[in-house]
Amino acid sequence: MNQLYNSFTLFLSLLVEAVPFLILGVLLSSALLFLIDERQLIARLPRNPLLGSFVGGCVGFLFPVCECGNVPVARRLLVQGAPTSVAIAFLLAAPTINPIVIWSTWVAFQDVQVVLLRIAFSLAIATIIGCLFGFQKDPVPMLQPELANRVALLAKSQPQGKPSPQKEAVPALLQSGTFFLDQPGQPVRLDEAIAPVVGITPAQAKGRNTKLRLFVDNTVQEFRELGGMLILGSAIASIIQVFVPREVVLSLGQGPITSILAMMLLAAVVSICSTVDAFFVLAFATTFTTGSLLAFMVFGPMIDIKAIGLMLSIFKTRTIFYLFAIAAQLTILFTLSYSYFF
Amino acid sequence: MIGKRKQRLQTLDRAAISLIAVLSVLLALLIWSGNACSGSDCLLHSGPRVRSFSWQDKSISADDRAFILTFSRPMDKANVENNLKIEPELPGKFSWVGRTMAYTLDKPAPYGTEYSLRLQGAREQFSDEESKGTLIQPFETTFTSRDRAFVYVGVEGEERGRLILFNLTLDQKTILTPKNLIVTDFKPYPNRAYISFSALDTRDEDPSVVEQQIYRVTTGFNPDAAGDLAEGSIDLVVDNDEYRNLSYDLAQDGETLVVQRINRADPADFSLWVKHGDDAIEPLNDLPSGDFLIAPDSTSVISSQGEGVAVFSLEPQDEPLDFLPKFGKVLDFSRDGTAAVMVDFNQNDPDKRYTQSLYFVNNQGSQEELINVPGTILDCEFNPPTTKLYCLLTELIQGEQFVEQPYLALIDLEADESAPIVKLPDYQDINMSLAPDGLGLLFDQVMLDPDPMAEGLLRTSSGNAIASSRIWLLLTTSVIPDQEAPPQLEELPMRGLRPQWLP
Repeated sequence: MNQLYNSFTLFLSLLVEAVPFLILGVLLSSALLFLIDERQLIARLPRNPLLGSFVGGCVGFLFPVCECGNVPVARRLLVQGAPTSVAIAFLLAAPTINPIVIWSTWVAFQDVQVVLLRIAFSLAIATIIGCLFGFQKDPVPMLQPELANRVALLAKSQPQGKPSPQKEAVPALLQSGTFFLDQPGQPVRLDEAIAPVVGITPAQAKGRNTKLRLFVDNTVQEFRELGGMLILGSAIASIIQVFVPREVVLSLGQGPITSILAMMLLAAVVSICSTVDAFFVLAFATTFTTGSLLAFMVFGPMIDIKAIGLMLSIFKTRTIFYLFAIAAQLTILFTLSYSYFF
Repeated sequence: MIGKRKQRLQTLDRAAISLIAVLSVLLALLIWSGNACSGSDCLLHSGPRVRSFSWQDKSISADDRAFILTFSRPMDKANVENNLKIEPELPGKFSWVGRTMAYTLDKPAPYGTEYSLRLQGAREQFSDEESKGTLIQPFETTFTSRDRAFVYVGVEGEERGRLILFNLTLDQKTILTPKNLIVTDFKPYPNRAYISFSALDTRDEDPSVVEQQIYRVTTGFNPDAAGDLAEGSIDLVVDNDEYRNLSYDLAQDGETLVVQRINRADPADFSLWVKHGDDAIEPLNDLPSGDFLIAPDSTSVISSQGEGVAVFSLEPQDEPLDFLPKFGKVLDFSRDGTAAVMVDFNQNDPDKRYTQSLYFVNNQGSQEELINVPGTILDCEFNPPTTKLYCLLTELIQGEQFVEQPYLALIDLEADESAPIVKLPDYQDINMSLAPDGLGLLFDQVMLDPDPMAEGLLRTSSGNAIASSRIWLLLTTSVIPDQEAPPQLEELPMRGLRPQWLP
């Protein structure tokens, strides 16, 4: 019973620490989506794979979204005709390379080295993988067939400037992806639900009321979804901390390699949002190596189980496997080198 | 079209698979080189290491009581504790939080020493008790303690009335103040970069003891190694235009000054003033005050007030925070500010008339009488761990006339016993100072000018002109000296007044 109280206290403290960052992130992402005209942005993105993927990694600064919010945005980027390297690098780096996450990492650790390494490793991995995918000039073969069709169609019919794709005739439940069942009548797919909002540009949003309504809708939508994930993540984290014997955690934390692997596995399982994962991982700071904490914070936002679900709505399995494998290898390589050399 | 797509798809596949293969080889190499060891020589050191040491390249003071070692991995605590070597030895206690170890010294590190810290042979923690963790990468470093240095007021020739810094570690003398300033009192800053002093200017028309102003001078010690701080640069801190400065104290924060001032136009306007940092000086209250001392927390001042001592906050206000009617004077505070020694003049106890009692008072409200002397309690200082008190006392010698003879005494607070250490028969107006590491006690022996009409601005508190003054060093020991172990007293080669150790 005592353990239950302990884990509940831990759970609440995690939530109290994390919720302000989540609210801030959601508000900022909703606000910025109105302030930035993404079509103009795409038109200015560099086509060179190396430069493109580096810029794509940094675009996160303009879209401070969690790993839950970046998939719809990356999907929009692809559909709007952004270079593949930019979209992939954005997908991988945006959850980490954004002001909210950098700030929350600093607040949690108060350690410049950890913050800088997190940024450097994430940006490097995103750039390398973005570059690799940049070889593929035509994104269609690596996308899910339905999205591929849409991209191919859009590429043919409307070079730029039209609003987001129309709904297909396929029943929603036959499509892959994450769905909301709260709207009466028809389940709404997650990225579809956000897409109308994402697609709005200042030019299209007419009237202050419409803008405000869209802003509120988007904020509530994101907060509900991400808040749910946060509560689940915090619950798992507090249960692990209280119910798993310390010896087990300690033995995983030993050795530079096992600790990194353990933390990457944890990152994938816990699926905690990148704006708050620094607070989560801080609980392990005394028993795990710094390298493994970095592995958690670099790898977690790129790929976790929740994100894989979201990604399956865009990419083919094989593409996701490449993303997953290379990101994992690079994370181990970087963090292990850090453990050995610093 | 389909064929073309397939071709491109293979490009991505080929690129991705090649990259995965290259990364696998790199990873294998990295893991292999981390494990390819022969003895303690590894191609890459994969074991734990010391990530940071808080006293690295630092010159530590008596206030630095603990250092922190941060490891890259969780360590076997007992193993680290057994393998950590500091030379010369510094006894202390270990404490751990995860990968961080703190070592708290039992007493301040002796000054003027270079220490080496070595950790080798320690292992990382392993939950499985039978297998041994990896060995730590040997760690070796050095740190130093501050130079042993003290300041005094010169008495002879060119040095007369000037503030002089003597670095015992380097055997180096520096005159800090110019000839025209006759220093009457001084207080070193805790970071030892500055010394605050009060002085008279001989260039004034009528230089007299009451015309002192408060200045600040740089010592040349630079704790932060930032900016240029050559010694001997002087700023005026408190002037004497409207108010005369009688005495002052500097707080431990190095920011706050409390000055006892008297209005030139209205001698009844006589009270304590406070100055925070670069702010203007302002009156603390309008109550007359006697001797005073700023508490170690730098937020309150304890001052003799009528028939007791009052505790005032350092923000201007009239009401004291506390009032202790029993005591007449505060002599010293413990380093952490939790205890103080105070003097009871025994005015209200007819049995103890003409004696003084020394009390140990702590913040829990306990008041314990330490000694009662049939003379005067002049001064007392706690040793750094607050286990002993060094006191300057006098005893009354009955002869044709009563004579007060000063002596130094040691009071052991733990054993609750006291004993005189050394008698100082021909001494007067003695100032003593205990070293910040507790290893030596400095005091002066003033020699008066035989001519009672002699002129000069260097005078004792009773107004006699000072001809010269010797400086003595008493090496303090842990035991009370006796016949077999006489006190180790040494006359230092310089002549000066009011010797005081730098913190």
